[in-house]
Amino acid sequence: MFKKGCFFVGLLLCITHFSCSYLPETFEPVDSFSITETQKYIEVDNGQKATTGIIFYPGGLVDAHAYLPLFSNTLMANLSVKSVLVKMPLNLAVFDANEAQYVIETYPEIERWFIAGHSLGGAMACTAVNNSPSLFNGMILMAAYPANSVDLSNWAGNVLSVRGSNDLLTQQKDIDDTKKQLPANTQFTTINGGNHAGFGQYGVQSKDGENELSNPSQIDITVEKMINFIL
Amino acid sequence: MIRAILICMLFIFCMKVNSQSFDVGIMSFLNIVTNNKLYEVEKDGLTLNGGGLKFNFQQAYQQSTCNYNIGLELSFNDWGNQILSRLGANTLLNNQIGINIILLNGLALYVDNLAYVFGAEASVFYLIKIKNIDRVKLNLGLRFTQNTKYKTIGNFSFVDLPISICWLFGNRID
Repeated sequence: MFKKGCFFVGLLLCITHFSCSYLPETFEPVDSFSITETQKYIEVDNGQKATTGIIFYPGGLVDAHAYLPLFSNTLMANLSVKSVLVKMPLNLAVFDANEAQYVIETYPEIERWFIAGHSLGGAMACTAVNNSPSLFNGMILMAAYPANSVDLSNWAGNVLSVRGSNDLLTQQKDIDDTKKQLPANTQFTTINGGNHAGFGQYGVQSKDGENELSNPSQIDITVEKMINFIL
Repeated sequence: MIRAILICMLFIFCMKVNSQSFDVGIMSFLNIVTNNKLYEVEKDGLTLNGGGLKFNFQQAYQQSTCNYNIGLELSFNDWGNQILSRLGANTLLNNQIGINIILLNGLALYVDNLAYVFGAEASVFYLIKIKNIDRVKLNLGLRFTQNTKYKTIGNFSFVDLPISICWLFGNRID
């Protein structure tokens, strides 16, 4: 009995060690946005009649709430855009890469859909596009690149790939090596001084480089690039 | 490091029980009520709010007697992954059906930032015999959990319907 107990609790300890996620920092909601939470996603609505939607997949072991500052940014207040941040099982997008399809079915009034993702979420966004390319008009990758099994080189949608220059988790080499898997017209852009964790608001990420910008500054720059790409 | 010490302490505490029965199970939670102080919550019937693994030690399953049990669960829900101790008592109503009440205390697992989670669970269980020994336990109940740190982030407490299936090790004593 004791040996069996030790085995199962040892197993539990191992799982526990690798299952810590990043706690989002407290976020002050912005007046011009209404935020609705369901069990599957967080909807950010700016009160405008939305014709464009952005579905966002969070990074690995990062709670979707950490990206609220990105999608309820005052720069997005007057756009006809609705954002939907998907909550992932175990905070790992690999477990639900096709959740975007459910979101799209939930909002039939949206005419154009973009899918975005940070880090692992970006890789899974590529997988979602690979599985259902006709559902999306474009894709935004933040410190992310497609998995080896994904080939979007012939996809008709537009792609924006953003990376912080001080990101030590998603290296420039990783982006360069996977360029051939993305459409030829993909826009690659770098945020000077930005790092990996700077796309969300969840503190310092292990093994990441230093953020020379403030966290809100990196978010503002990312939002500007995102808006220019979508519109 | 603190996390590892706390988990080891929970385990040692568990082993102090004079356990004659040990069970391992998988569970899933169907959400009924969600509390959120910051944002509007939209619900569409019963939705899956996570699941996990549980390990329980207990004295024995005895009819018409209060049997104490203690265990650990590693589970996930809307606020992420958590490890909880399960301190409870159960009694068999007849040969196969019983009721179980459990207090939950533990930690939501965040990098460098653990959060206290507490709750309670009440359930009805059904024991299934295999080769004349109780081997499988099916559970259906009601469960409340709250994460103290999530009040300023999002959904911070839930009432769920926990459903679980467990494999029992050790013999039942009648």
